[in-house]
Amino acid sequence: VTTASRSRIRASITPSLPVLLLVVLLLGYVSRLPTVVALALGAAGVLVGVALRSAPNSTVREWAIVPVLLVLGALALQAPVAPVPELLAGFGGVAFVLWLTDDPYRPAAGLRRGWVVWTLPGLGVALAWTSTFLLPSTTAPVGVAGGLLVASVLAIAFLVRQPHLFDADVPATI
Amino acid sequence: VRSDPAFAPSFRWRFRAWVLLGGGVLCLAAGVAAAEPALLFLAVPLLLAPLAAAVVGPHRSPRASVDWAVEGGGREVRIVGTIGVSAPTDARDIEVEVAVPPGLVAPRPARVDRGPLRIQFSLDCVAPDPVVVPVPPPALVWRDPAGLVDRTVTASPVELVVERYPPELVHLGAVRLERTIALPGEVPSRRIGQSGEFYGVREAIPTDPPNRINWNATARVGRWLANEYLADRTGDLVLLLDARPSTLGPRSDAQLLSLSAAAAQGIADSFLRAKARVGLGIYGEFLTAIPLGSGRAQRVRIRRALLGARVAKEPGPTERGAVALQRYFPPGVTTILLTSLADEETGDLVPYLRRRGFPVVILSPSPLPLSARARRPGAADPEEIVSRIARLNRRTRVARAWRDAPVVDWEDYWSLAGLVNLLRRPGRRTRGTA
Repeated sequence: VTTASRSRIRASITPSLPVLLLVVLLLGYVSRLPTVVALALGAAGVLVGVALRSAPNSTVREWAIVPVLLVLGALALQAPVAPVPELLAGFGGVAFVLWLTDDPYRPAAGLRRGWVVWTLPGLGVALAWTSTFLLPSTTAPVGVAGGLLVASVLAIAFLVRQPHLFDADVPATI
Repeated sequence: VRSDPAFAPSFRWRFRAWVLLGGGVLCLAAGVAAAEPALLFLAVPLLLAPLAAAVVGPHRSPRASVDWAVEGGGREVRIVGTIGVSAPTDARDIEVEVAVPPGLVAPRPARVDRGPLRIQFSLDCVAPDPVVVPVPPPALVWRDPAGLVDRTVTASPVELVVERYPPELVHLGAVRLERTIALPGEVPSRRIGQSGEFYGVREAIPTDPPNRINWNATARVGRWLANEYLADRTGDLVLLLDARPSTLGPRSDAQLLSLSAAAAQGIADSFLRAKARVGLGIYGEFLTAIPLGSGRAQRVRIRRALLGARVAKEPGPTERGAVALQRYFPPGVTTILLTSLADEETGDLVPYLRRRGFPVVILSPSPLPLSARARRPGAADPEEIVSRIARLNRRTRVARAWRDAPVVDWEDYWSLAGLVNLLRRPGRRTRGTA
């Protein structure tokens, strides 16, 4: 391991990494998988992500998000139906976005500058979790929630296909 | 209805955003299909984060001002610049990519220092050979801190050109050139200079030499005054670049044309500074000509033409070059032909030019140093023999060209002392008979 690789690996250990690792390990611990397997899987996914993130090639670095995402998906699939595992799955996603904003190859203070990017998903998860577990459940809200879910997926698909909607038009006159 | 027909969205989703959105949709579908609510909770941040990144940034292409310059001397080239943005855009979210200009070598990547509103960058390069090349403007992209979306940054930096040529050319302008107009004696130009007809008196500046100080006027007025003169035009010069393809191949042809362009730029600069009229011809398949002219505008015209010079795909007939040159330039004008003399075709242009009354001096960048660089160190004997034969071949070509015009065999690319010595001795500029 050369000095350059060592310094790159050191730079990849960012403040958000312990948060991500902790949430992933907790999600693994509460999942239906054997504890050792789940913890090993979680730790391996995050470590592979960190290793790819410390690669000198920028194209390889872009792929660092994939193993972490796969591990989160696998552990969430094995999570039991209970409030705490579901909360951990949601905040696993938020910790993942937090880790994205804390890129060692970008200027410092990405967490602070990109606070909207991780706060908004955090609020979304909090809202979904509280509405699921703290509000009384009847048949009618299930239908409303289903409708909202379909509408939101359609809205996201529409927004993703129309990137110019995020652009303001150039004014015709000054 | 768009206000601007040329409006193009500056917004782009990045690879990460597609991965997050794809992962989110997969989690959603799998969560519903497998009745696993944890997957639905995981899908929420994955789907929301790209949208949050899209709305958090500037809603149109952010504007930036780029103030940059080329520094250094000789082979060293340093490109430095400052990029300024105005709030609310944060300069730390702007990605800067400084490309190395073609023909230069950068031992290290560009150094970029960021502040909240300003980015400073510098790129150290080395020019292995003389070169005239435009510097590509830095690519600026606004990127959200999570790296999910991009927006192009609008900036209009001034055109920057790296000009590196042999240092001897700086004083080449002192050479007296032949005039091509009928009037005898000095020909005053409308430009103020250091010699020629008296024009007027002005306040002296610290760099004025003593012979320019008007001592009588200084004594009368009590402050330093200097004389100004209407500079005489020294003469006319045509630079003719041979951009026809040769047997050396496109890569070597392009390298030799780049060297010729750098030399032409240096020669033109030097003579234009001395108020001479300089014209340019680039002969590939057809002739591209810039008629004789002087001043800074002519310098820009010549530089622009040299930057656009490319090796032609098809070589033009030799006689066409000479005939076309006659249409743009008067006979008798000193002509410096920059050609590689790599094959018979390139050498044949000189007699045609001389027959039409152009006294020619050949400046021939030699292809031998290029092939020597390409040779592996400690190469086997056959390669050594090939290089010897190439050297003998080159000597023969140069000797043959000498029968029609004086030739400067340009082997050391960072020295043009041979050309300067030749032009300083007017008797040696002509050779043979027309």
